[in-house]
Amino acid sequence: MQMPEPDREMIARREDIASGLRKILGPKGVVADPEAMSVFESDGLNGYRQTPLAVALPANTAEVAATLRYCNENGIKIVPRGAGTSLSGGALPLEDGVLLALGRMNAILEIDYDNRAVTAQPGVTNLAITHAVEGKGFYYAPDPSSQIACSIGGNVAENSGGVHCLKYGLTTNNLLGIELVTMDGEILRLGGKHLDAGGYDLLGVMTGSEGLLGIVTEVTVRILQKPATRKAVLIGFDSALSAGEAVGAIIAEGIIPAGMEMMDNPAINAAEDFVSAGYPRDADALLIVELDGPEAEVDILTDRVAGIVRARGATTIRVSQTEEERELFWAGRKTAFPAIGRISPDYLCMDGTIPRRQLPEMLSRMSRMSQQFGLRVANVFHAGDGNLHPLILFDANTPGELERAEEFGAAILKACVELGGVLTGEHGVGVEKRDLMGEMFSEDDLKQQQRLKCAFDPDHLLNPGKVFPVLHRCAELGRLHVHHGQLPHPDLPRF
Amino acid sequence: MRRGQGSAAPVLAVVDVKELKDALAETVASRTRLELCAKGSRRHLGRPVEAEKVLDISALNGITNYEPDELVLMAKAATPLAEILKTLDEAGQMLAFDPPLGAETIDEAKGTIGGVLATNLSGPRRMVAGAARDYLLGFQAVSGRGESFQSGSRVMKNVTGYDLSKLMAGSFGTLAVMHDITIKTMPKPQDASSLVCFTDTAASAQKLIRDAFASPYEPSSAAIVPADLLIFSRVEGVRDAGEKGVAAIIRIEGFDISVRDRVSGITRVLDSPQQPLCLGGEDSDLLQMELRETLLLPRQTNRVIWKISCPAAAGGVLLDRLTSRPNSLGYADWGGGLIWLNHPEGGDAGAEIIRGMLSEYGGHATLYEASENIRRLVPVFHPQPAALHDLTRRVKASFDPLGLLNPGRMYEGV
Repeated sequence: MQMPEPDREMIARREDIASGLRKILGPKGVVADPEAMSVFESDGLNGYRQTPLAVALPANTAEVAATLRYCNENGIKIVPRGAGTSLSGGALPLEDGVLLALGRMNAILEIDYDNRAVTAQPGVTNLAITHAVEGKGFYYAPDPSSQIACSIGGNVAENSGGVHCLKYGLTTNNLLGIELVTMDGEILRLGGKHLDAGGYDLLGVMTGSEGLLGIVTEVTVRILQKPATRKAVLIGFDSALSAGEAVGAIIAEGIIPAGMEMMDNPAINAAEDFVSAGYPRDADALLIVELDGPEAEVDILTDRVAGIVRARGATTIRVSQTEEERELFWAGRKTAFPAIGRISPDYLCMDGTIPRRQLPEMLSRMSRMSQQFGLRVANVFHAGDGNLHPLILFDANTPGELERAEEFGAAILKACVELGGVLTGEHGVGVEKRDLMGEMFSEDDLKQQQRLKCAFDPDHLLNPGKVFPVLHRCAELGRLHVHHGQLPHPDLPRF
Repeated sequence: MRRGQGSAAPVLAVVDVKELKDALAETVASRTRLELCAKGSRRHLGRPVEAEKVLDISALNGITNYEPDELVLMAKAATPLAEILKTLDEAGQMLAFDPPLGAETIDEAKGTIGGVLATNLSGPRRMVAGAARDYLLGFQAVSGRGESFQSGSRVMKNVTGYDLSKLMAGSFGTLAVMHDITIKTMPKPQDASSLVCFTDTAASAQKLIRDAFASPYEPSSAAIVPADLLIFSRVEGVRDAGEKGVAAIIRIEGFDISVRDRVSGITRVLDSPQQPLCLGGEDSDLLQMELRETLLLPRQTNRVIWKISCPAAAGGVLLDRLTSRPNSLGYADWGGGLIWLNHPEGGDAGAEIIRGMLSEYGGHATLYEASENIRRLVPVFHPQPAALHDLTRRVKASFDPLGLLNPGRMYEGV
């Protein structure tokens, strides 16, 4: 992975920059010793490592603003980092950039049950929000699988999802407001406890912007009343095609399950070996359909789902009878990644989305590719919303296998786009999928996105080298192709 | 083309995307400022546009793809809203964000899907189902630079690149001309019921709503309506309940057995001294339509209507305060989070007082309906702090550097 050419002069100024940062953040707020910085070398995409120029650990918004102002004035690049769980390398440091780690800002600032809103600093973990409110029967809906560790600020940066997106949406649909600091040190508030933006929906733009537009220093999310009842239905099929049809039929019946997950045979067996959840080992595809809500509704829906899948040839149908059983049904799915980790020395987790009806085609292409690349693949799939997580199994100690696995992964993502889907459903582009952006977007599409970036960060100091395969200077991006005549108002500031 | 504002600007009508692109390229070359228009039904929203020409995109219409079991619909941006809603209805689906139709029935719905999205208008279900912006999955557009671009896709889980769909929704055509859109559809609830509970003040109605939402019975919307507006309802029993004070209206939707069960559950939770009125399907739908279409506000010419977004729990108190001022009438939707206020026309139409009061709670107030003259004089959109306004200008310039698309529609000079 090619990163922007580091600025050697900047690297030579490390001591100078560290002492500049210490003046702002105090001795505890800066790490510049290469050995101490090693814990910050990578995020969840741990094949890539880089020691940053220095690590800044601000304790509050004012310190973030002062740090950004200092870096902006000195032309120093910034890479923001939450809990470092990104699977796409969003928090991969730059050799000539300051890593801005927000972990010290980890307080829940306000719980407002009347408005069903929680305000937290960016370093608070996703699960900590639910823990803070569950005593009163509330929870925070988006539940990425890293929720025990990932930070809410990182969730905003990546627009994180989880297994309940079909019914409850992604981060962007559950976010009410943020405080952010722009690269020039301005502190802005977008949204709050009210709904909708008064002007442009910059809150929506910030969500999923992967740390390229601003630093989120405070987050307000909506919390929901916990459903009265939850039941999971475990369904086995002897063909992935029937399973895919059943998913479509459930939605066509007007049922929006809280979660609808699919696993293929290799994933079923790896999970069953690991947690003995009672999955049917001979099934070609397994569906877990979770229904939640008032008890009367859940009872009706459970019966309907059972009827629909029976009519489509389900070979196993089990409805959870207790909360323990429901959790057991989920245990295999939730531990699918570590379960795969037991049967293969290494694996790559991909994250494409396809229109759901393309699933059979996608699975058959994947099995052809598996033979072509000589690597096994197991699939877990957010079936309700079309988000695929193929796990490519390989051994990094065998020369050439990592490269083959990466090529296999890229081929899968290209197929996702060919079938009408996208490169990433919830993990983000980061560095991992950066060079594939051209598969999905034209040059003009990407330039327009970068122009928006220029409106926030005209010098490309925030997280450069992520998301966009080619960095264009803002002045160049702003140039207009005018056929005749001059631009009006030449005195107006433009890019 | 329907003319909403007596504008005499010449009309530039395009028949397809190629013509649209050519027209915008020519516009950039000649620096012609354009007002975007299809059916013109939402032209009264926002500030009056200062433009030399009207760009009519109404020929860019038609549903291009609809897959109900994938919950996705694609259409040309100027497809009539009525056509979209009828197509969804036949498949048992809906737009979950429940946009105001400018009409009582879906057959008569005014305007286009592009107009609904560009203005980010959402109805009573917004508080649980999300806004128009939450349902725009992707789009294709031509920017104010005359360049085609697209963002998003047809799948609902997508984080590839910036989420420009959010930015386009609610941008009032000031950034780019959307010509193709992809939206997420949702199943229509099988049954619905509205509980109407009477109490003495909006603030106490607010408490009933809070309790309903803290229960496990999942209401789908809630409104607060004072007696002096209930009389405008066509629903029997609601209209005649004028003596009874302020109504908390709580809607429950879903599968029939579930709705019955939850209605009795909420009735128990509310423990109201007066037995709530329970409206069945048709009456419930009629009342919710009246709330969505602001039909409970007095119908008069030159009326001024404010759309005030505030934290839901503050809605009752704020509504009591706002409506205690002379000749001010209003009700709250979105569980208190949206106040519709009818205000006398004089002076600044109440802008300073309303926005001042709102600043104690947080939120924004938009001048939703007013004469062209007032909309020119009074900031229609909530004024922004300086740093945010500067960023807004830069965002506008990143799509439309010459300020050619709907200039001044949202803010003066933007």
